[in-house]
Amino acid sequence: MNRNIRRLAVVFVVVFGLISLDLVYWQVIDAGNLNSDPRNVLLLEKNERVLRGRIFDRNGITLVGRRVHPDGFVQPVYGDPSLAQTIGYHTFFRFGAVGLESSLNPYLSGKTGTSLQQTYASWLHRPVLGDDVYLTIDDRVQRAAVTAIQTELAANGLAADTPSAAIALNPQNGQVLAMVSKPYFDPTCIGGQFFVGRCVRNIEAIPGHAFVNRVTNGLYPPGSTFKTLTLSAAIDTGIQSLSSQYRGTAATGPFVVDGYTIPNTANNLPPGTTSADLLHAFMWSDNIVFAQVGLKLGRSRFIDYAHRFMLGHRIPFDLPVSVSGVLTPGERFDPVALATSAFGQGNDHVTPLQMALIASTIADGGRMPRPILVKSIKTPSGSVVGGDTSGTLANPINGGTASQVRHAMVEVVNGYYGSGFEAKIPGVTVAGKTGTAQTGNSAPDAWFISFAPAQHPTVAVAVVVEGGGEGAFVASPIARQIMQAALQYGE
Amino acid sequence: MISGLRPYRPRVLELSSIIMALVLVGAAFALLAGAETGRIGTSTMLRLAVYGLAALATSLLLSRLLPGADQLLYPLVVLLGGVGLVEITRLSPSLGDRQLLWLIVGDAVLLLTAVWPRNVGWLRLYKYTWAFIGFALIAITIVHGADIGNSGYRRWIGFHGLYLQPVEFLKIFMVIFFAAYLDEKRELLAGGRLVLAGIRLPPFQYLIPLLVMWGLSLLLLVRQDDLGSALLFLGIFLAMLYVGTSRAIYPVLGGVLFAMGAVGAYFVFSHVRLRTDVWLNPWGYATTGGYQLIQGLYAFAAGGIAGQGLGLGNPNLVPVASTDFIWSALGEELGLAGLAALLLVYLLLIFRGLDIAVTARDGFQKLLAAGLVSVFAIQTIVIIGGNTRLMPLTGVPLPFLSYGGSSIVANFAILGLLLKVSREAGREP
Repeated sequence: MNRNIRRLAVVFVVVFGLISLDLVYWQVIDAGNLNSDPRNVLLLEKNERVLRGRIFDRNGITLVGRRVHPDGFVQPVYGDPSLAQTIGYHTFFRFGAVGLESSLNPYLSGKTGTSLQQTYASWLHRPVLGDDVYLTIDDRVQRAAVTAIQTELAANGLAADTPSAAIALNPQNGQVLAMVSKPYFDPTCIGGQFFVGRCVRNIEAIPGHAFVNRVTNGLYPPGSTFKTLTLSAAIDTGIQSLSSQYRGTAATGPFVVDGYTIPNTANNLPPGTTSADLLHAFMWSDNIVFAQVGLKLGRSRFIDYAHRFMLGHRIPFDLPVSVSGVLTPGERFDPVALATSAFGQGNDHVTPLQMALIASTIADGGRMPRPILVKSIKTPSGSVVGGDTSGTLANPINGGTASQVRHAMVEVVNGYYGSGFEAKIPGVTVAGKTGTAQTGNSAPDAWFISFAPAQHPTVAVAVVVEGGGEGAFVASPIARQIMQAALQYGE
Repeated sequence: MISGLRPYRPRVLELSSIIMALVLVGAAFALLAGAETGRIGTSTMLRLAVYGLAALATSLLLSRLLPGADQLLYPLVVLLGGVGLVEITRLSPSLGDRQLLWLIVGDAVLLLTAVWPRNVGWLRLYKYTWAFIGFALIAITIVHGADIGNSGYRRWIGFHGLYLQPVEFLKIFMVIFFAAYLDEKRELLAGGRLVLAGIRLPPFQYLIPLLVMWGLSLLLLVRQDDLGSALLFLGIFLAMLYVGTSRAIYPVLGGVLFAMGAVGAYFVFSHVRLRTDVWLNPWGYATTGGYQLIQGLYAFAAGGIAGQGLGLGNPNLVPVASTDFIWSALGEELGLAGLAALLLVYLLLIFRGLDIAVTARDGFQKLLAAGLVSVFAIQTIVIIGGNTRLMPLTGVPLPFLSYGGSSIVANFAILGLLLKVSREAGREP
């Protein structure tokens, strides 16, 4: 009987061994999976106790604060809703995070630093401290942009919720000063909340897709603002100069390409004018002339310059950016497409960010700056751990070309019958280009790109108002007010 | 007897081991207090003092009542009970205080067992009485029992506000009965002339207890949805049958019969089917039947190797953590390291218990000790295996660690019987 008892002991040891192996499986081998399982409430508990980093504007104004509840639950507090798509929101559950709250999450949630302090804190089960982020955004310029859009929409008889987008950045260092995408939303009812379904449905019910960041993800035909790129290419290749002459029907149209007629209503010339050099064709935004410039450049050079200006490339940014371009996959880039693309129609599709970067390139002597939103990232102890990624994206044209295009853009705003007259700022020379983009809808999109002061630009702007009509009347005054704010508050 | 004329021998090994166990329990209490309030308050000191003094007093009385009995079993139980007490206090201080009360009652029951019955051999004389009491308890429970927690099953007997889980006591009566029965009939059971399908069987009438046990297990499974107790009873019975008859065919046959019955129950009874489905695919029932199990697994994972630290995890997120899921709670806060240590304590307890069985004075006592140790071992395996998804989850208490008055009292009675067997073997430490 004793032998049987010993065998029973062996059986128990074997089963205990199996239990131990099972524990090793759950606590070591599969622990990583279980710990990161989004359904895991413990994960939620852990995340909601992270003292998540705050987000400030460039001057230390709080854009996202935090509220610590007595039970240790930490909730983000969102401020300016006009930054809703840019900053995004952070949730604890399956809605995850979007915008900067997503792209900067490793910093904000304190997951980057392997600093001694963080390790120490985790051993002692202290709350994890996230890093604070300082944006390049100037809250004053941001508010000025919001006010400008509201004011001009009302002044032009447009609905207050008209979808529109505006971005201002410093062409010298690529720092984005303001970014507005209308309609926007109040992230308070999503960020840091548990039950967001109703809030999300309410936001989705706002006409015009409030969740979309139009500055980075809205793809629009650029209209005549794109002539800036065509003019740059024509001068940079040397096939045209500002004084190249277009007379008679070459200036007035109609112009026929491959059986497709561009009517003389598209010449935009002042009444009685029947000829123009390239400078005036740009000032007055003559589509007939630019169709011919496009054809003279030819398919490959036009596409080459589009690529030099980063069209067809993914622009590195702190937010995901849709790729702008002149080609649509699957469609032939025939002479008709080339001629119409040259004045910003055809297959052209661009983001407001892309157009702001084209303006910045002219402003900064042919150098395209890398756009940045983050000025610095600071640990709770105050040391800077990241941020400033400023640099050069591309050098599409030489300085001489840039200064000639700048001259043309100054004339757009200041010259006789110039289409951008509404952008004039007293005491400051402004350079700009209007655009009125046909979209197939009843009213065209209104565009304006500009920079100021023309000789030493510190701000470049792109504005688009969907269905806003003539760019000269809605978009350029918005750009003017944004530039005024940026110049007033600039360093 | 307490006035006893027996020679007094201090149980030095036991006392020093208890003190070591109390140091560990005290450290756990201190860590818990530190994590919760940042300081060690009077309530913590009071709990530790009450628990420690009760254990030391019990040991001193044991040296009078059961001189020469094993000196290692009780300290191991003090350690297990203390760790459970800390974790239950952490989950719910009021529940912890009640558990402390039950542990003291357990000590008293241990001492009572030491006094009565006078000798273990007396128990075998009334084997059918014990069996009858056991079945009567179950019958009363099924017919007149209370359904606590709205499980849909009557598993408790109410008595003036005090609720007992008869199943916890039934296991002791059954072990005594089988030890006596097997010791008497083991020659017959081991031999036998009847051959059926190549298996040599004893005369049919001696197989009746086997069939009755099989029936009881399935009854518990189906009528009470108590798979844990079913497995426990069957496991104990088969282990004892093997120890008594040396015939491995009995546990195999019994296991196969139970498996067949269980498979049948799966198809016939929806609650058995649900339980099994949840076991096989808990994530398919993540918000219903599988919720508890999955939260338990998350707790294990959160604990990792070193654990979150006592008082620093979130074990309350697992429903009924203090009873069925105390092992998950401990896994989260003490980690794999802590659980491995506790498993070793259980193994020590089991080995020491089986050692007592080996050295026991006669066949009845060997079977009794082996059966009682099997109760601890199988119960531990069934609940831990259920927590770790090794087998379907069943609600049996983890011996000495889980919250529960009936379980604590019954386990201390088992401890008392084991100590008695060790003493009658004339063991010296």
